[in-house]
Amino acid sequence: MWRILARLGNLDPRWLYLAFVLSIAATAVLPIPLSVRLSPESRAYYEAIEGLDGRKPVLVQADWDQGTVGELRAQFINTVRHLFRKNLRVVFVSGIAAGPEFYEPVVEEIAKEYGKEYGRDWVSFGYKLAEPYDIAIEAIARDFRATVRTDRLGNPPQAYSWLQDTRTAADFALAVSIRYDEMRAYITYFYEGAGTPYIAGVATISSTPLYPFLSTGNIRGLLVGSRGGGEYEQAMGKREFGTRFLIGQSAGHLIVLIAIVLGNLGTWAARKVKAE
Amino acid sequence: MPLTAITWERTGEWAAALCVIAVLTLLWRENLLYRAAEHLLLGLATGFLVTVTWFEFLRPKWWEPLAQSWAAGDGGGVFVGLLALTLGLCWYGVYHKKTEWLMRLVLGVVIGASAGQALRNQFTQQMPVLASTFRSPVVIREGGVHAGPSLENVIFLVAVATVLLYFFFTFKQDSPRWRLIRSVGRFWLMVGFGAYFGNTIMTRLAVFIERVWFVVNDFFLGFTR
Repeated sequence: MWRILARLGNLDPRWLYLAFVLSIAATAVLPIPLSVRLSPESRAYYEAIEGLDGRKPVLVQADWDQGTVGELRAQFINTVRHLFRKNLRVVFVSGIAAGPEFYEPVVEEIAKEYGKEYGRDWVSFGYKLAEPYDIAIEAIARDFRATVRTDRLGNPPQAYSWLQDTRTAADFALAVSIRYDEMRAYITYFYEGAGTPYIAGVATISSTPLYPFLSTGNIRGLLVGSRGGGEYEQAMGKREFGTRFLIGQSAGHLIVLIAIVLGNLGTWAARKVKAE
Repeated sequence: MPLTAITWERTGEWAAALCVIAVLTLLWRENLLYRAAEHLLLGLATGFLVTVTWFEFLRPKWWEPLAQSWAAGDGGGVFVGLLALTLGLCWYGVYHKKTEWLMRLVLGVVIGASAGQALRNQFTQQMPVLASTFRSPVVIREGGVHAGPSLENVIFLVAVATVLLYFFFTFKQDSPRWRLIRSVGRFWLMVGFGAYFGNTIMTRLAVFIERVWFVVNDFFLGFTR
């Protein structure tokens, strides 16, 4: 018995990888129900958008691409859905070169769902925030028009009637960033500098140091990784990619936990066999 | 597998799925297929970055204003454009010992600007967080002591104090009392590192899940649709 268990400690990790792939692949095809509640940080994010009155446009920085699509896609989809459902006008920009390739098709699809039109309800200025990001955000906060120059159709911001008075950070109702990590420059130049609140959607790996900013109110709301995306999706009354992704993530975590237990059991059994 | 599933439109999916499978073969062992996929990714990323830099930045923000100024006979515009070109080229001074000082000039400007930003950020971002650590161990609301929030604040203050004392190296800390304080501080540090590590696993797993789903759902099951 102990000898069999002791073998677990020396198990070829490739069996673990196989179990991992099979369990995650199963969640891609099997319908498994899962309900989650809004965590306090996701609720704060939801309420920050819910509380807007639509007098000023919302600035959304969409910086997700192939590397972060799993965690950030559901966050982005449901943020745009919420903004359109509230009849808010939205300005999209990106801080990564591939950003517009990813976010524009998604926005167009959701815009159709809510009957929103390009130019009337939303505009996309594409990749306009290059590194160093602090300087780029400072520039957009100081002079929005000069920083973004033209949108994807080649029009300047003032070509759209609802953007004619939008010149600085104070002319936006809210700044949103959905990217691998947060964009702290928004705290400095939008929140502290102009009183425009800032909310962020980030990958889980970047979330740990952000909770103090949440408790001080510098970041008004926070979506954390796929959990935040799934929670927000269900708060929007949908069960799509975000919810399904949580199921995949749960399956992966279950395999990790089982592997930890079996590995420890194997080490413990090996010590017992050696002692005998 | 119906032959109609192999279409020109699906070429992108084919390429993506084969690349994902090639990368995942590393889990089996180091092999040529993985190496080929790795080099392909690096080459594509570099090519993409060069193209984007020209079309999204250099052309609209430098070349077009310079060309327009030249055509309009605007000396000021041309000067600014050429100055930007000169400063930009200074970066390449790093490749030769005799011209290295040119790179230091522009590097100095960038570091100066970043230091200025960082100083301002310390006040606007870190000071409110620092101030929020000064919490009362006794929370009084509506004339009464609230046990839950008070306990929360006490735990928080103990964690902050012990972690700070853990990094206090001014004098020797080898008495039993100090060892206890350091142990408590180390415990809270491990809690923090554990949260970081758990969150790292979640993000890595998310990348893996999305790719496995793509291969299973969009590629393999795509043949049956």
